[in-house]
Amino acid sequence: MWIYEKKLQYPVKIKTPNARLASQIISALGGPDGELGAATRYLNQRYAMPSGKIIGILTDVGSEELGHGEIVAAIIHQLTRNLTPDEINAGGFDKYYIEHGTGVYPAAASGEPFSCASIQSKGDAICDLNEDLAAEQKARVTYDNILRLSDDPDVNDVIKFLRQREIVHYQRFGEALRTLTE
Amino acid sequence: MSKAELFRKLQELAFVKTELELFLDTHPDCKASLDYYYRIVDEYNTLLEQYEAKYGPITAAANVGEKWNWTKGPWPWHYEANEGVGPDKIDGGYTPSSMKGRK
Repeated sequence: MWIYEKKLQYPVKIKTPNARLASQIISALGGPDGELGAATRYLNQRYAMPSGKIIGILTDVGSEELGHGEIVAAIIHQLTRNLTPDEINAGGFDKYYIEHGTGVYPAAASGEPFSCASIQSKGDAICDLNEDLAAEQKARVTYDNILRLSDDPDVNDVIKFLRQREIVHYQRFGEALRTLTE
Repeated sequence: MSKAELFRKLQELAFVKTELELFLDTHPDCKASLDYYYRIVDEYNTLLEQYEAKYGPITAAANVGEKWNWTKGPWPWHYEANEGVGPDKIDGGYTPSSMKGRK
């Protein structure tokens, strides 16, 4: 059972709307290595796990990832405030806008809707934890790529926080895997 | 109240609490529902405190004492958890029945 907390894990305060950045950062929510996939992956892998310790870390990281999805959504929401038609067209946000307006829709930067095809739950602890280690690195690279393309300090501050969390999760999953292999 | 009875009562109260939250979201001015909600929340918190003190945390932050008990015991989807066999019984490496006999 889950209970909602009415607060972000990290504050999001973006002064300047930016349609192009929104069309890129949406991938961190609904892309192949996005937060929605991360939460879905970890929370669903739990049922086949052989120990309380591994179930615990998947539960707690998976729950945190749900919160990260909310942070990314907050970034998208604030980046798409008060956009003019010219800004929407110039920023390459037009295709997204036609389907979703400024609503938050989990999709990749390419426009591909969120899909479980990019995650796995194999029913095998060693297999799934190795997948999770790779997933954290893929998410970290996605944030690195966003940081290369974005020069908005308000956005980058939040993205750096999310990037750091991927590294911490990678550490914890490594420790969980070692409980099985050592 | 036995452990299983206490646990079941908690589930019932949590459900009533959720149901009232949904109702109050769309009927924020219903005084009777709000009063009922406060009563349920009170009762829930009292029983939750009793349960967690005896049998271990339902949320991680309710962990108390020298040991991290959050990850111990059966998880909610295990048959044993629903029989009311709780976190006090089993240490660290809990093995769900579906995994017994497997390497």
